[in-house]
Amino acid sequence: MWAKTLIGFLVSLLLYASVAVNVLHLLPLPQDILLLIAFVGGFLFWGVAMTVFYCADSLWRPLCYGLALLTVSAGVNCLFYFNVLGVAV
Amino acid sequence: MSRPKKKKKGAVRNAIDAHGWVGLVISVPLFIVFWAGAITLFYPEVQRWASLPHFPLQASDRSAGLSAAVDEAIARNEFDPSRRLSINLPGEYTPYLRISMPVYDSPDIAAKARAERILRRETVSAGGDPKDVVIDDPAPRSRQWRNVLVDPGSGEILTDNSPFKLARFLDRLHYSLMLPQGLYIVGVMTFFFLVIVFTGIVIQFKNMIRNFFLYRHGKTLRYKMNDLHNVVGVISLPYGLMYALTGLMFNLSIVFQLPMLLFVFDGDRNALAEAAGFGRASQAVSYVEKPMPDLNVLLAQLESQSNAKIRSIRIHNYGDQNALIRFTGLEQGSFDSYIDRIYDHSVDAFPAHLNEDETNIMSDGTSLLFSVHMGTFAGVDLRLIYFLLAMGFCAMIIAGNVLWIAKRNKKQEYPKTLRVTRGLTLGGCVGVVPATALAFLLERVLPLRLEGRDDWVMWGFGLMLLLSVVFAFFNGSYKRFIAHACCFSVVILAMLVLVDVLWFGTTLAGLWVQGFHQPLAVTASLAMCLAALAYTAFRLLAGESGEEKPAMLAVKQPQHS
Repeated sequence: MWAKTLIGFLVSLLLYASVAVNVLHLLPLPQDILLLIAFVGGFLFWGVAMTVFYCADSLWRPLCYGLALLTVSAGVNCLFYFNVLGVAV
Repeated sequence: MSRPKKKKKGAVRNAIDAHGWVGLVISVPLFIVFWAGAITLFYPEVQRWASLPHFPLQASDRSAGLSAAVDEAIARNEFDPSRRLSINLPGEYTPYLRISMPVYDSPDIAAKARAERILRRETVSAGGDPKDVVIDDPAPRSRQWRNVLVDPGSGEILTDNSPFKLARFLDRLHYSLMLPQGLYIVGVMTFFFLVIVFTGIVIQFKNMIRNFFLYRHGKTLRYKMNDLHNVVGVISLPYGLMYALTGLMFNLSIVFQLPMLLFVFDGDRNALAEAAGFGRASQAVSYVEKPMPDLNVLLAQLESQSNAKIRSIRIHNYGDQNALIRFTGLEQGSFDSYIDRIYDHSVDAFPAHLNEDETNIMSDGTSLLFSVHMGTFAGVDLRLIYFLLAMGFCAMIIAGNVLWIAKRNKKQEYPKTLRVTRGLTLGGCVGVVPATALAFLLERVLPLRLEGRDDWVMWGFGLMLLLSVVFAFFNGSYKRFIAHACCFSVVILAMLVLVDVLWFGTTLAGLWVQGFHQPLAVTASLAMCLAALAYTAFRLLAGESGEEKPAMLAVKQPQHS
């Protein structure tokens, strides 16, 4: 349970941060609305992601899915951060 | 040879394991947070109960001169003008005019800081830049705060530092457990509470409707506790979810701010604060003295123009030409429409650029959620419902602990580990009740002039909690332990009610007649808690000697041949 807790907490936290940043970049809404969506929805997402870790039989499956999703999301973060798409951050 | 495959337990089984494990680990801090939060819902009432019998008022109006009261409070204390001065106006939250001011640690430091200010003023008047003044050993900034209480009717200063800190202590216990970095510790714990809510939904999803009101009264304690845990959990699900989410937002917003700051706002904190609607106006000190305006005039002007009730005033750079005076309050008839106006002393006006009426969904949304969290959008009736739900949550946490311990009792494995767990979890949770009762008693009976009075209250609470943990460790039956804790709380509360009746009875009755109902109402509520705890103790002790004793309750010691 300790392994699930620690690894699940870290991976879901990184995933939450990465997805929240993407929400701000991708959705065509005013910034204050996006901040509220990312703020409230982000915490719910984080909690759900952690619950998935706990409900799985082993740590590996949610960890693999989590890391895969994190890789994709972090990749999108990088595209915006280094201004690859020509969109100002 | 192939390895044998590990048997799959399924999502629900895993969720049950995680729900129990996480619940047990965070049970004590979660219980303290819910318990203290439930009492904090009545923060104004507890504050009035503590202070009004010592400093009774004739009426809570604003007839006294605000500016005169502030000037007198500043003259009596070593005020640090480089920091903010706050004024809480008498109203729903405080019956007094309360002036919170930063003060220097000693008169020597205050004198040194004053000399530095004079030097900078002379430099400015000579046409120089105050930043050019180099001081080798500058006076340290103030680290202490004083809460000056003023009679709003007569303007008389009642005390230079309010000794009534119980309500504040319980509030801080609620959001930080009074620990270093407690805000984040409670935040992480709240996150795991959110996970407990989600795993609870996974566990109960299929039975949520079918077993909604299932309570097997005639069964053993374990069934009863299980049903209590499930029924309270399902009924209070929206409330629990709201508290988990809003608590997480308030305590752990840093995990949201950091990535936003780094990856969206390029490290510009002001830009993030502006986008979120929390931008703060500030002005550098000019080191040019200018008499402050009449606060009563500004207040009356603002309240009539904005149709609002101003609750607090914050003054930056007091006595300086560049002073900013910030008025915050609530629009009349509204529960979440806050008004926030800034007066710029350098132009003697409320300038438009500091007072733009822009709607910001983020700041409006978070203030709405704060109202929902604190139950401030309705009257006492709503706060009573919140209180009952919070108490239900506390009962649910105890039921969860009892379930976990009863299950291990049955297996008779690791008796020492079980004792430690019982002491830490059940003792830690149940012990909060007598500890709170003792804190209330100390707040009432300790002399007002006692040095470190608030520390005595805090240490009283902590020591009682520790004693409870030790007692739970050595007490074999947890039913008897809960009953004894209730009995102990009853004794403390009886002393408290007696003190209120014998020492302050006439004052409390007089306050009631003058319209200050809260102090007597709190005393009556404490008497009702006393009755409820006495009844619980009686039922538990009767049950312990009754039919269920052999079933689940006693810790079975390992049998030696």
